[in-house]
Amino acid sequence: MKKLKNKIENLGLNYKKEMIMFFIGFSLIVLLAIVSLMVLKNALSSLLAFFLLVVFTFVYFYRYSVMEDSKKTKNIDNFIEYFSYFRIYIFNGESVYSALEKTLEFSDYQIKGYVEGLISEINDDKTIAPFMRFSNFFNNKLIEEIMISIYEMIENGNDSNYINQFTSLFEDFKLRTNKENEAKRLGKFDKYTMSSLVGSGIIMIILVYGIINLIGTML
Amino acid sequence: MVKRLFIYFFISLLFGGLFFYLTDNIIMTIVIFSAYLLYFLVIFEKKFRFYSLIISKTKECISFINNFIITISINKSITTTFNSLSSSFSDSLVEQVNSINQLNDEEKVMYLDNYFENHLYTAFTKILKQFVYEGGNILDSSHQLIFDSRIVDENLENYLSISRAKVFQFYLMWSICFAIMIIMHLFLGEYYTKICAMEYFPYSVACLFLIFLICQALIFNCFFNLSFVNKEIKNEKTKKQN
Repeated sequence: MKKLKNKIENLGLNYKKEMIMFFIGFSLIVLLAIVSLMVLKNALSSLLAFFLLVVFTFVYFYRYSVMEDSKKTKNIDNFIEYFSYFRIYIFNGESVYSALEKTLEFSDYQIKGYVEGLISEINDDKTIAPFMRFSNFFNNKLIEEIMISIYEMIENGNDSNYINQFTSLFEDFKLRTNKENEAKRLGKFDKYTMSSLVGSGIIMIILVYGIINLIGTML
Repeated sequence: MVKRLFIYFFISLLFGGLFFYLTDNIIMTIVIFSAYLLYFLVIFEKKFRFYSLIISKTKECISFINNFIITISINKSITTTFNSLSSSFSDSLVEQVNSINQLNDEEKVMYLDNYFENHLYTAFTKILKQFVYEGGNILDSSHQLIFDSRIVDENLENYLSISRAKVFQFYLMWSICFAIMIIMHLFLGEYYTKICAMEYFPYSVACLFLIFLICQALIFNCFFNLSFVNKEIKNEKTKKQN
């Protein structure tokens, strides 16, 4: 329960509100089941209501995992977008600190907060710790490596070897993420194309039902 | 626009006609026809316009940045570069430039950031400013930007070709479903007429047509989603809300 609460709060949602919404939905289905059972007096309707309850509960809580995934993907996309501009500034001879500051305007509001935190932290703490804390927001090993390479650029005064190391790591990460995102996008198309199977299924049901009825009337 | 309206009307009429052919139910036919027409006119048209806007602006932006950098690296003057490129501007860009005629050429180039609404262009204006006030070799300083814009262009082209093929595949698969219904009508003859007369039949076929419409709306929702290319461009409604 505590894990769920943390999950909901990490998504920026109100735990109490979410639970109230769940119980309202749950109660409505139970109420519907009771009413239909009383009116129809049919065991099938209570079975249907039970099935609906299971589906509702699963969908309601599963969407938090979907939201968590999409938040993670969005965070990584924002990281790539922001550091693409950072890389342009670094290539143009800017220092890490000034490139971080100058590219702030290209950042999404969420990553902007993280970068502002990083800039203020590297003013006081000259160790690798602020960069590690920054990479923790994304929970990704490659981002951690990229942040280490940025720290090394500071340590070695924008030496071209370290710039190249950062660029190659970043390009590799960008390419991999782009491929993953593209596969996800195209996967969605395939899902919708498969919907034609649902169409075929419905046609079969319509046909079989019609033929059975027809045979029934003939007999 | 008129051409598109005609196409929407024709597609809706096609599905309405097919439904009528399969069920002989005029009321449900009108419902199906209206549902399809409503979808195309209200949802599809809006998404299509936004999609076209993103494609045209992104391509124009990339082409503008590349041409501008190459030309200015040769003649070193914003005015000469801007004037030599102006002949290749699109109608909407010409309209935008005409509306800011009171500005000088450098200000015009900077102002076009509001027109393109693209981070690549914002980065380009920063590099251009650096070039104007600090000098240096613009080809060197914009090397990464040109590389990034090429990647965006390639991703867009790649997505457009694959997504079109996927939508075609979707229609092909569904057309097989509808072909089954038509074949059923043609070959079952008298039996089909009897099934058709059953009360449930028009409603279940309508259900099939509506599921197809929903799947169509979902696939186009995915098809028109170009947020991976440009998150910046906002449609008119969002702009007003902001």
